[in-house]
Amino acid sequence: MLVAGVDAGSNAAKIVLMEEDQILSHGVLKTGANSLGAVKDLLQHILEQQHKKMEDISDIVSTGYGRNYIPFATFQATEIFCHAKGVFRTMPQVRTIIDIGGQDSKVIYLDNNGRVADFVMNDKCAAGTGRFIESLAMALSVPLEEMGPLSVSAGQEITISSTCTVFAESEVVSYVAQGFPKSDIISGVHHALAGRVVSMARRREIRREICLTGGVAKNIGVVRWIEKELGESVRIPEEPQLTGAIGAAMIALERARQQ
Amino acid sequence: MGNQSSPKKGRALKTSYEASTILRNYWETIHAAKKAGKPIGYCSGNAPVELMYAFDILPAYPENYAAVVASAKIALPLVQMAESKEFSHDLCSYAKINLGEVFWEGKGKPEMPFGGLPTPPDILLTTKIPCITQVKWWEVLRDVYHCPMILLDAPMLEGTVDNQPSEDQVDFVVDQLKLIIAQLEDFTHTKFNEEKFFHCLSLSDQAGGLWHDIIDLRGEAVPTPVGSREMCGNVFSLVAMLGTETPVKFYQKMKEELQYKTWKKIGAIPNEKYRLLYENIPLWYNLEMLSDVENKGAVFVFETYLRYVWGGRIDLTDPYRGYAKKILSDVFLNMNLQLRYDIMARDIKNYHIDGVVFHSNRSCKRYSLGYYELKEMLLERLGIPSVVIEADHSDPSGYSEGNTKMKLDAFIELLEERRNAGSRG
Repeated sequence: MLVAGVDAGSNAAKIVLMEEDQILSHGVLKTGANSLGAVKDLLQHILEQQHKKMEDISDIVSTGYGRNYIPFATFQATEIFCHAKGVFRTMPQVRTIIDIGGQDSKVIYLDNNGRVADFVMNDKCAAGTGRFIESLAMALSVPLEEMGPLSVSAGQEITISSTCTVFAESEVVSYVAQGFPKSDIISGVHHALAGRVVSMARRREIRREICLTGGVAKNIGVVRWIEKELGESVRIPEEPQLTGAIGAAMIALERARQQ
Repeated sequence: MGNQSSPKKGRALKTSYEASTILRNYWETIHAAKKAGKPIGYCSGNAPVELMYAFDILPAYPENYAAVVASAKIALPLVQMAESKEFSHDLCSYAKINLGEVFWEGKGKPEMPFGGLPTPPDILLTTKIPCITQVKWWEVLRDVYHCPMILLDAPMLEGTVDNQPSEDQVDFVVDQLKLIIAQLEDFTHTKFNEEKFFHCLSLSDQAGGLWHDIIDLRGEAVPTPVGSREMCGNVFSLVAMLGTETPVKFYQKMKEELQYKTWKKIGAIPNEKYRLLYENIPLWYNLEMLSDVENKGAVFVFETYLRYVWGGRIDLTDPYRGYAKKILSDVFLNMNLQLRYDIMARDIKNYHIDGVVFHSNRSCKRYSLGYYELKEMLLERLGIPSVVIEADHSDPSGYSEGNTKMKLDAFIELLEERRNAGSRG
């Protein structure tokens, strides 16, 4: 039985194709302005790779900010539930999920059966999201994927105190002008993000184990600061950015089996 | 999760269709009165408006009008104009909408619904029961219009769910009511008509009583016959016409329709699955949010804003003290956190609530105080889950539609999972 999970996020489209309980294929594509177009292209590409056709798919579930705009999805679920399902599949010991996406960050508290017991999300500003790092990477002229590795060699601690992404950018520019090494500044940026996310997570009891999902989990600098702020180590799925799409595919599988 | 039944189109109650006529008539009457040279008083919510009627002063409500402006989706330029006149971004958006209109300069002013507030006011009446912003806002209006301003002070209510204000607190308010009467006698150069005042109190008591009956009827009924979005429109006549016959007649009719619908078990939506409580002032520029959840089988059956900001009974056997007690005891904003929790816990039980949506309202910090504490208390003590959305009641500039929709969708998914797991209901 072939099913698909589509995570139409604010930054990237993520698709997972599952054959029964096994992940057959997956892909990630930057969405840009035309997210539906990106999702269609990506799904087509993945299906071709596997020599499959749309008609072969028994059920498609969508999640992410664009979840309601995927016409070929038969069902929609929020990222919160998809991340819970996606994490529980491979890490059933996890009780707290910290998901840092492009547009928002969420903390999902699970009960002992892997069900969502509660969740909190950042409010309407970009602080505490992937966009915060993206914006400051641009200000520093550093490719996004190099932000993590660069920050590991930081020497001294730098504080970025503004919660506003635009004002934080001014702070970063000011540090650059004062001649601080980029690695130190980037580490300060990661620290600021980690501080915001962890303070949000502390609104409820943080139960172990803790898992970090979303694209930002690929950034080693953020991961280290989050662990330091929590005083705990965190687990990271093999493909943290795909967690939502995996959860959506699992819901699709449950639905297909019920039909 | 996912695809559920669609909500019914149109209003759930026939009586609700009369609300827009009442609104239009109110504005026509007040503009006509101003034109005829009758005194107009700007009143804030929870101010002792019955005293105004006793002196033949017609009340207009800048706060209520700001909500009308926000509903018409024209708040933003007015808010921006107020900010350009150096009013703080952090100020309540009701105040900013009003002050944006008062201080408007240049072109591009939006067309104001119902011709705007009648200006200038002849007198200003306010109270600090809901908040201190009211007082400072009215002081600005006093400086602009050079008219007298009367203030009713009130202490915060403490205690448990069944407690009434202390005798000292009631004395304090009664003394002020008498002082306001003297001030209005000075202003109008007429003698206080106590009989008329008591008649207005009686009408307020009837309207307040009917409103509570309506809230009980729709809250206790399973399925509920009417959701929040419609009721937010229906509260207008209680806000702006308290002390007159209009809300009494309107709510009597509405109560009868609700009695019939609850008897017949006619629900607001086809398949009611989850019953929600809404805490705080609605998003006037996006009332759709309250009905969007109905697509997923959820319906807001009770709102603290509609029950504990407007309405309330008055003990007419001792009118001054009865009125003082009503003023002190029926406003959620004027209660401490423990009392608010106790009241919510009682209402959650009485109205069969499955979950609570808190609106952390940037404009109304006093109302939004302690939400994460309340959230934790509800879950730990009652097993009732809740979600906090962050927005503003009238300023749409900081509102994130995608973020809010996601929170509400996820919350309904959470309720569904709990239901499936058999942990409740």
